[in-house]
Amino acid sequence: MATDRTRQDDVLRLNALVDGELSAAEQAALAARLAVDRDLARAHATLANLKAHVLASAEAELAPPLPPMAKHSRLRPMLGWAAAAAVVACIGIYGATTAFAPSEDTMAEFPHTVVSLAALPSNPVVPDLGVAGLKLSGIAMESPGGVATIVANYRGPHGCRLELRVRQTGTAIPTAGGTSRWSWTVGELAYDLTAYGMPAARFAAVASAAEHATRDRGKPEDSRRLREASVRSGPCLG
Amino acid sequence: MARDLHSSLPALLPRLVAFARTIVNNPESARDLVQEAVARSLAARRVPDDPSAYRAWMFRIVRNAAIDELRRNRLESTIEPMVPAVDLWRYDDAHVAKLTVEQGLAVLAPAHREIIALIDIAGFSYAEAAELLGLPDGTIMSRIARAREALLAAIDVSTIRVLKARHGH
Repeated sequence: MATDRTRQDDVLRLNALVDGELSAAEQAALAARLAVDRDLARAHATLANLKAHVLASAEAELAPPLPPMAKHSRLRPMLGWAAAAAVVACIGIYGATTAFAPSEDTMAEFPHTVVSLAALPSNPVVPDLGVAGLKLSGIAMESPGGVATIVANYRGPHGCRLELRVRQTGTAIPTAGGTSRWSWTVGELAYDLTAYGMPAARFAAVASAAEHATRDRGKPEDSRRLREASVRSGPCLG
Repeated sequence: MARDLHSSLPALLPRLVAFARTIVNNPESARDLVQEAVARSLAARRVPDDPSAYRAWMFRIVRNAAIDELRRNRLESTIEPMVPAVDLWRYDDAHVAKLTVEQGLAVLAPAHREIIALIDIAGFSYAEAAELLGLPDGTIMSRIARAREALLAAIDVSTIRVLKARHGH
Protein backbone atom coordinates (compact mmCIF):
# COMPACT_ATOMS: atom_id res chain seq x y z
CA MET A 1 0.00 0.00 0.00
CA ALA A 2 1.38 3.30 -0.98
CA THR A 3 2.24 5.71 1.77
CA ASP A 4 0.71 9.16 1.90
CA ARG A 5 4.04 10.61 0.93
CA THR A 6 4.27 8.42 -2.13
CA ARG A 7 0.76 9.31 -3.10
CA GLN A 8 1.52 12.99 -2.74
CA ASP A 9 4.50 12.55 -5.01
CA ASP A 10 2.35 10.69 -7.49
CA VAL A 11 -0.23 13.47 -7.46
CA LEU A 12 2.48 15.96 -8.32
CA ARG A 13 3.86 13.73 -11.07
CA LEU A 14 0.44 13.08 -12.56
CA ASN A 15 -0.26 16.79 -12.67
CA ALA A 16 3.11 17.41 -14.23
CA LEU A 17 2.39 14.69 -16.78
CA VAL A 18 -0.88 16.24 -17.93
CA ASP A 19 0.88 19.59 -18.09
CA GLY A 20 3.71 18.22 -20.22
CA GLU A 21 6.27 19.07 -17.57
CA LEU A 22 8.00 15.70 -17.21
CA SER A 23 11.19 14.74 -18.96
CA ALA A 24 11.11 11.88 -21.45
CA ALA A 25 12.59 9.52 -18.87
CA GLU A 26 10.10 10.54 -16.21
CA GLN A 27 7.25 10.15 -18.66
CA ALA A 28 8.38 6.68 -19.62
CA ALA A 29 8.68 5.60 -15.99
CA LEU A 30 5.26 6.92 -15.13
CA ALA A 31 3.70 5.44 -18.27
CA ALA A 32 4.99 2.04 -17.25
CA ARG A 33 3.27 2.38 -13.89
CA LEU A 34 0.07 3.68 -15.46
CA ALA A 35 -0.10 0.55 -17.57
CA VAL A 36 -0.32 -1.69 -14.52
CA ASP A 37 -1.77 0.51 -11.79
CA ARG A 38 -5.48 0.95 -12.35
CA ASP A 39 -5.94 3.55 -9.61
CA LEU A 40 -3.04 5.58 -10.89
CA ALA A 41 -4.46 5.43 -14.42
CA ARG A 42 -7.84 6.51 -13.15
CA ALA A 43 -6.36 9.47 -11.32
CA HIS A 44 -4.43 10.43 -14.43
CA ALA A 45 -7.61 10.26 -16.53
CA THR A 46 -9.43 12.45 -14.02
CA LEU A 47 -6.75 15.12 -14.14
CA ALA A 48 -6.55 15.05 -17.93
CA ASN A 49 -10.32 15.28 -18.13
CA LEU A 50 -10.33 18.18 -15.71
CA LYS A 51 -7.66 20.07 -17.63
CA ALA A 52 -9.57 19.64 -20.88
CA HIS A 53 -12.77 20.93 -19.34
CA VAL A 54 -11.08 23.94 -17.76
CA LEU A 55 -9.91 24.92 -21.22
CA ALA A 56 -13.41 24.29 -22.56
CA SER A 57 -14.82 26.55 -19.86
CA ALA A 58 -12.87 29.42 -21.40
CA GLU A 59 -13.92 28.76 -24.96
CA ALA A 60 -16.31 31.72 -24.97
CA GLU A 61 -13.36 34.04 -24.55
CA LEU A 62 -10.95 32.05 -26.64
CA ALA A 63 -13.28 31.94 -29.64
CA PRO A 64 -15.66 34.86 -29.29
CA PRO A 65 -18.69 34.59 -31.53
CA LEU A 66 -19.44 37.23 -34.08
CA PRO A 67 -22.48 39.33 -33.26
CA PRO A 68 -25.62 38.28 -35.05
CA MET A 69 -26.70 40.52 -37.89
CA ALA A 70 -29.99 42.31 -37.58
CA LYS A 71 -32.57 40.71 -39.80
CA HIS A 72 -33.42 43.89 -41.65
CA SER A 73 -30.06 45.51 -41.45
CA ARG A 74 -28.30 46.45 -44.63
CA LEU A 75 -25.11 46.88 -42.68
CA ARG A 76 -22.26 44.78 -43.86
CA PRO A 77 -20.95 42.58 -41.08
CA MET A 78 -17.62 44.29 -40.75
CA LEU A 79 -17.52 45.40 -37.14
CA GLY A 80 -15.53 42.48 -35.93
CA TRP A 81 -16.08 42.61 -32.18
CA ALA A 82 -13.77 39.85 -31.09
CA ALA A 83 -12.59 42.17 -28.35
CA ALA A 84 -9.73 44.08 -29.82
CA ALA A 85 -8.56 41.08 -31.75
CA ALA A 86 -10.10 42.40 -34.90
CA VAL A 87 -8.18 45.50 -34.30
CA VAL A 88 -9.43 47.94 -36.84
CA ALA A 89 -12.66 46.77 -38.31
CA CYS A 90 -14.91 48.76 -40.52
CA ILE A 91 -18.56 49.36 -40.50
CA GLY A 92 -19.81 49.74 -44.00
CA ILE A 93 -22.63 52.06 -43.30
CA TYR A 94 -24.60 52.07 -46.45
CA GLY A 95 -27.26 50.53 -44.37
CA ALA A 96 -26.88 50.58 -40.66
CA THR A 97 -26.90 48.80 -37.40
CA THR A 98 -30.27 48.28 -35.83
CA ALA A 99 -29.76 51.59 -34.03
CA PHE A 100 -30.41 53.46 -37.22
CA ALA A 101 -31.86 50.93 -39.56
CA PRO A 102 -35.15 50.22 -37.87
CA SER A 103 -37.42 47.59 -39.28
CA GLU A 104 -40.32 48.60 -41.43
CA ASP A 105 -42.65 48.07 -38.49
CA THR A 106 -40.62 50.38 -36.32
CA MET A 107 -40.44 52.95 -39.07
CA ALA A 108 -44.21 52.99 -39.21
CA GLU A 109 -44.26 53.99 -35.56
CA PHE A 110 -41.81 56.82 -36.12
CA PRO A 111 -42.91 58.61 -39.27
CA HIS A 112 -40.97 61.69 -38.23
CA THR A 113 -37.69 60.00 -39.03
CA VAL A 114 -36.15 62.35 -41.52
CA VAL A 115 -32.58 61.15 -41.85
CA SER A 116 -31.82 58.24 -44.08
CA LEU A 117 -28.49 56.62 -44.65
CA ALA A 118 -29.30 56.82 -48.29
CA ALA A 119 -28.47 60.50 -47.91
CA LEU A 120 -24.83 59.55 -47.56
CA PRO A 121 -22.49 58.23 -50.19
CA SER A 122 -21.87 54.55 -49.75
CA ASN A 123 -19.22 52.89 -47.65
CA PRO A 124 -18.53 55.22 -44.78
CA VAL A 125 -16.17 53.61 -42.31
CA VAL A 126 -16.28 53.77 -38.55
CA PRO A 127 -12.94 52.46 -37.34
CA ASP A 128 -12.64 50.25 -34.29
CA LEU A 129 -10.13 51.94 -31.96
CA GLY A 130 -10.25 49.20 -29.36
CA VAL A 131 -6.55 48.54 -29.43
CA ALA A 132 -5.96 52.14 -28.40
CA GLY A 133 -8.27 51.55 -25.44
CA LEU A 134 -11.18 53.43 -27.01
CA LYS A 135 -14.43 51.54 -27.03
CA LEU A 136 -17.17 52.37 -29.51
CA SER A 137 -19.87 53.42 -27.07
CA GLY A 138 -22.57 54.63 -29.42
CA ILE A 139 -23.42 55.29 -33.00
CA ALA A 140 -26.32 57.25 -34.38
CA MET A 141 -27.63 59.02 -37.43
CA GLU A 142 -28.16 62.73 -36.83
CA SER A 143 -28.84 65.82 -38.91
CA PRO A 144 -26.99 68.78 -37.41
CA GLY A 145 -27.79 71.80 -39.53
CA GLY A 146 -29.93 69.56 -41.70
CA VAL A 147 -26.94 67.53 -42.91
CA ALA A 148 -27.19 63.75 -42.68
CA THR A 149 -24.33 62.78 -40.39
CA ILE A 150 -23.17 59.57 -38.79
CA VAL A 151 -22.06 60.31 -35.23
CA ALA A 152 -19.94 57.67 -33.50
CA ASN A 153 -18.74 58.06 -29.94
CA TYR A 154 -15.76 56.36 -28.36
CA ARG A 155 -14.88 56.20 -24.71
CA GLY A 156 -11.61 55.36 -23.02
CA PRO A 157 -11.08 53.74 -19.64
CA HIS A 158 -10.21 57.04 -17.96
CA GLY A 159 -13.10 59.16 -19.10
CA CYS A 160 -11.56 60.18 -22.38
CA ARG A 161 -14.02 60.71 -25.21
CA LEU A 162 -13.80 60.96 -28.97
CA GLU A 163 -16.56 61.81 -31.42
CA LEU A 164 -16.40 60.92 -35.08
CA ARG A 165 -18.74 62.63 -37.54
CA VAL A 166 -19.10 61.39 -41.09
CA ARG A 167 -20.99 63.40 -43.72
CA GLN A 168 -20.94 64.13 -47.40
CA THR A 169 -18.18 66.41 -48.64
CA GLY A 170 -19.27 69.90 -49.55
CA THR A 171 -21.74 70.06 -46.67
CA ALA A 172 -21.25 72.07 -43.53
CA ILE A 173 -22.31 71.26 -40.01
CA PRO A 174 -22.02 73.23 -36.77
CA THR A 175 -18.61 72.85 -35.21
CA ALA A 176 -18.46 70.46 -32.29
CA GLY A 177 -16.75 71.51 -29.08
CA GLY A 178 -13.86 69.47 -27.83
CA THR A 179 -10.20 70.07 -27.23
CA SER A 180 -8.72 68.84 -30.51
CA ARG A 181 -10.02 68.14 -33.99
CA TRP A 182 -8.77 66.18 -36.99
CA SER A 183 -10.57 66.36 -40.34
CA TRP A 184 -10.05 64.54 -43.60
CA THR A 185 -11.95 63.43 -46.65
CA VAL A 186 -12.16 60.10 -48.42
CA GLY A 187 -13.89 60.26 -51.76
CA GLU A 188 -17.27 61.84 -51.19
CA LEU A 189 -17.12 61.54 -47.43
CA ALA A 190 -15.86 64.08 -44.92
CA TYR A 191 -14.67 62.87 -41.54
CA ASP A 192 -14.27 64.99 -38.40
CA LEU A 193 -12.77 63.43 -35.31
CA THR A 194 -13.07 65.50 -32.14
CA ALA A 195 -11.38 64.78 -28.85
CA TYR A 196 -12.58 65.73 -25.42
CA GLY A 197 -9.78 65.77 -22.90
CA MET A 198 -7.27 63.64 -24.74
CA PRO A 199 -3.65 64.81 -24.73
CA ALA A 200 -2.89 66.42 -28.09
CA ALA A 201 0.02 64.15 -28.94
CA ARG A 202 -1.99 61.01 -28.36
CA PHE A 203 -4.95 62.36 -30.21
CA ALA A 204 -2.82 63.17 -33.24
CA ALA A 205 -1.47 59.64 -33.28
CA VAL A 206 -4.86 57.99 -32.81
CA ALA A 207 -6.54 60.27 -35.35
CA SER A 208 -3.86 59.60 -37.91
CA ALA A 209 -4.35 55.88 -37.45
CA ALA A 210 -8.13 56.29 -37.67
CA GLU A 211 -7.74 58.21 -40.92
CA HIS A 212 -5.62 55.45 -42.38
CA ALA A 213 -8.27 52.95 -41.34
CA THR A 214 -10.98 54.84 -43.17
CA ARG A 215 -8.84 55.05 -46.27
CA ASP A 216 -7.67 51.47 -46.24
CA ARG A 217 -10.85 49.94 -44.82
CA GLY A 218 -9.36 48.06 -41.96
CA LYS A 219 -6.40 46.32 -43.51
CA PRO A 220 -4.14 44.48 -41.09
CA GLU A 221 -1.49 47.16 -41.31
CA ASP A 222 -3.99 49.66 -39.93
CA SER A 223 -4.12 47.82 -36.64
CA ARG A 224 -0.38 47.97 -36.46
CA ARG A 225 -0.46 51.67 -37.16
CA LEU A 226 -3.01 52.15 -34.43
CA ARG A 227 -0.94 50.23 -31.94
CA GLU A 228 2.19 52.06 -32.95
CA ALA A 229 0.38 55.35 -32.70
CA SER A 230 -0.66 54.54 -29.18
CA VAL A 231 2.79 53.35 -28.24
CA ARG A 232 4.32 56.60 -29.38
CA SER A 233 1.98 58.66 -27.28
CA GLY A 234 0.96 59.05 -23.68
CA PRO A 235 -2.06 57.54 -21.97
CA CYS A 236 -5.44 59.17 -22.13
CA LEU A 237 -5.95 61.04 -18.90
CA GLY A 238 -8.86 63.12 -19.93
CA MET B 1 12.54 50.37 -31.53
CA ALA B 2 8.88 50.19 -30.71
CA ARG B 3 7.39 49.53 -34.14
CA ASP B 4 6.54 45.84 -33.88
CA LEU B 5 6.73 45.24 -30.17
CA HIS B 6 2.98 44.87 -29.83
CA SER B 7 2.51 42.78 -32.95
CA SER B 8 1.55 39.69 -30.92
CA LEU B 9 -1.02 41.53 -28.82
CA PRO B 10 -4.12 40.74 -30.91
CA ALA B 11 -3.36 37.04 -30.76
CA LEU B 12 -2.90 37.23 -26.99
CA LEU B 13 -6.14 39.06 -26.27
CA PRO B 14 -8.52 36.07 -26.10
CA ARG B 15 -6.33 34.30 -23.56
CA LEU B 16 -5.82 37.49 -21.60
CA VAL B 17 -9.57 37.92 -21.35
CA ALA B 18 -10.09 34.26 -20.43
CA PHE B 19 -7.33 34.51 -17.84
CA ALA B 20 -8.82 37.66 -16.34
CA ARG B 21 -12.31 36.24 -16.37
CA THR B 22 -11.19 33.17 -14.48
CA ILE B 23 -9.49 35.26 -11.81
CA VAL B 24 -12.14 37.92 -11.26
CA ASN B 25 -15.00 35.57 -12.04
CA ASN B 26 -16.83 38.23 -14.00
CA PRO B 27 -16.78 38.45 -17.82
CA GLU B 28 -17.56 42.16 -18.02
CA SER B 29 -14.98 43.14 -15.44
CA ALA B 30 -12.49 40.93 -17.21
CA ARG B 31 -12.99 42.68 -20.53
CA ASP B 32 -12.76 46.08 -18.89
CA LEU B 33 -9.58 45.32 -17.06
CA VAL B 34 -7.95 43.76 -20.11
CA GLN B 35 -8.84 46.87 -22.06
CA GLU B 36 -7.27 48.96 -19.33
CA ALA B 37 -4.22 46.73 -19.32
CA VAL B 38 -3.87 47.05 -23.08
CA ALA B 39 -4.07 50.81 -22.81
CA ARG B 40 -1.36 50.72 -20.15
CA SER B 41 0.84 48.50 -22.24
CA LEU B 42 0.44 50.64 -25.32
CA ALA B 43 1.43 53.69 -23.32
CA ALA B 44 4.40 52.01 -21.67
CA ARG B 45 7.80 53.48 -22.37
CA ARG B 46 9.60 50.17 -22.07
CA VAL B 47 8.16 47.12 -23.78
CA PRO B 48 9.84 43.70 -23.77
CA ASP B 49 11.07 42.87 -27.26
CA ASP B 50 11.31 39.13 -26.72
CA PRO B 51 7.96 37.48 -27.59
CA SER B 52 7.84 35.22 -24.54
CA ALA B 53 8.87 38.07 -22.28
CA TYR B 54 6.22 40.25 -23.90
CA ARG B 55 3.59 37.58 -23.27
CA ALA B 56 4.56 37.25 -19.62
CA TRP B 57 4.63 41.04 -19.30
CA MET B 58 1.10 41.36 -20.67
CA PHE B 59 -0.24 38.64 -18.39
CA ARG B 60 1.49 40.31 -15.45
CA ILE B 61 -0.21 43.60 -16.27
CA VAL B 62 -3.58 41.87 -16.50
CA ARG B 63 -2.90 39.95 -13.31
CA ASN B 64 -2.08 43.13 -11.44
CA ALA B 65 -5.25 44.73 -12.78
CA ALA B 66 -7.23 41.67 -11.73
CA ILE B 67 -5.75 41.75 -8.22
CA ASP B 68 -6.64 45.43 -7.98
CA GLU B 69 -10.17 44.51 -9.01
CA LEU B 70 -10.35 41.80 -6.36
CA ARG B 71 -9.01 44.24 -3.78
CA ARG B 72 -11.66 46.74 -4.69
CA ASN B 73 -14.21 44.05 -4.09
CA ARG B 74 -12.38 42.78 -1.00
CA LEU B 75 -12.05 39.33 -2.50
CA GLU B 76 -8.30 39.06 -2.65
CA SER B 77 -6.54 36.45 -0.60
CA THR B 78 -2.79 36.13 -0.72
CA ILE B 79 -2.89 33.06 1.46
CA GLU B 80 -3.40 29.82 -0.37
CA PRO B 81 -6.48 28.27 1.20
CA MET B 82 -6.72 24.83 2.70
CA VAL B 83 -7.84 22.25 0.20
CA PRO B 84 -10.75 20.02 1.08
CA ALA B 85 -9.88 16.36 1.05
CA VAL B 86 -10.49 14.62 -2.21
CA ASP B 87 -9.46 11.08 -3.02
CA LEU B 88 -8.02 11.38 -6.48
CA TRP B 89 -7.65 7.62 -6.69
CA ARG B 90 -11.34 7.02 -6.13
CA TYR B 91 -12.74 10.15 -7.72
CA ASP B 92 -15.73 9.67 -9.98
CA ASP B 93 -14.99 12.05 -12.82
CA ALA B 94 -18.34 11.45 -14.51
CA HIS B 95 -19.37 14.82 -13.13
CA VAL B 96 -16.42 16.67 -14.59
CA ALA B 97 -18.00 18.63 -17.39
CA LYS B 98 -17.84 22.14 -18.75
CA LEU B 99 -20.73 23.34 -16.62
CA THR B 100 -19.55 21.78 -13.38
CA VAL B 101 -16.02 23.02 -13.98
CA GLU B 102 -17.33 26.54 -14.51
CA GLN B 103 -19.31 26.31 -11.29
CA GLY B 104 -16.36 24.84 -9.45
CA LEU B 105 -13.99 27.54 -10.65
CA ALA B 106 -16.44 30.18 -9.52
CA VAL B 107 -16.22 29.07 -5.89
CA LEU B 108 -12.48 28.49 -5.78
CA ALA B 109 -10.19 30.85 -3.94
CA PRO B 110 -8.55 33.45 -6.22
CA ALA B 111 -5.11 31.93 -5.70
CA HIS B 112 -6.35 28.60 -7.01
CA ARG B 113 -8.24 30.14 -9.89
CA GLU B 114 -5.15 32.07 -10.81
CA ILE B 115 -2.78 29.14 -11.08
CA ILE B 116 -5.33 27.09 -13.02
CA ALA B 117 -5.88 29.98 -15.39
CA LEU B 118 -2.16 30.43 -15.91
CA ILE B 119 -1.42 26.78 -16.60
CA ASP B 120 -4.57 25.47 -18.26
CA ILE B 121 -6.01 28.53 -19.98
CA ALA B 122 -3.04 30.77 -20.66
CA GLY B 123 -0.83 27.76 -21.35
CA PHE B 124 2.20 28.80 -19.32
CA SER B 125 4.82 26.26 -18.36
CA TYR B 126 5.61 25.83 -14.70
CA ALA B 127 8.82 27.78 -15.16
CA GLU B 128 7.03 30.64 -16.90
CA ALA B 129 4.31 30.72 -14.27
CA ALA B 130 6.95 30.66 -11.55
CA GLU B 131 8.68 33.64 -13.04
CA LEU B 132 5.44 35.51 -13.53
CA LEU B 133 4.33 34.91 -9.95
CA GLY B 134 7.78 35.26 -8.44
CA LEU B 135 7.69 31.77 -6.95
CA PRO B 136 9.96 28.71 -7.13
CA ASP B 137 9.11 26.10 -9.80
CA GLY B 138 8.38 23.55 -7.10
CA THR B 139 5.79 25.81 -5.55
CA ILE B 140 3.99 26.05 -8.87
CA MET B 141 4.00 22.29 -9.17
CA SER B 142 2.42 21.80 -5.78
CA ARG B 143 0.09 24.77 -6.14
CA ILE B 144 -1.44 23.57 -9.39
CA ALA B 145 -1.90 20.12 -7.89
CA ARG B 146 -3.68 21.54 -4.85
CA ALA B 147 -5.76 23.87 -6.98
CA ARG B 148 -6.96 20.97 -9.09
CA GLU B 149 -7.79 18.97 -5.99
CA ALA B 150 -9.75 21.94 -4.73
CA LEU B 151 -11.57 22.17 -8.04
CA LEU B 152 -12.41 18.49 -7.98
CA ALA B 153 -13.67 18.88 -4.42
CA ALA B 154 -15.81 21.85 -5.46
CA ILE B 155 -17.28 19.84 -8.31
CA ASP B 156 -17.87 16.95 -5.93
CA VAL B 157 -19.95 19.01 -3.52
CA SER B 158 -21.76 20.91 -6.25
CA THR B 159 -25.45 20.32 -6.54
CA ILE B 160 -25.10 20.25 -10.30
CA ARG B 161 -24.99 16.80 -11.76
CA VAL B 162 -24.22 15.93 -15.31
CA LEU B 163 -26.89 13.92 -17.03
CA LYS B 164 -25.56 11.47 -19.51
CA ALA B 165 -27.15 11.52 -22.93
CA ARG B 166 -29.33 8.54 -23.59
CA HIS B 167 -29.45 7.05 -27.01
CA GLY B 168 -31.64 4.57 -28.80
CA HIS B 169 -35.06 5.60 -27.58
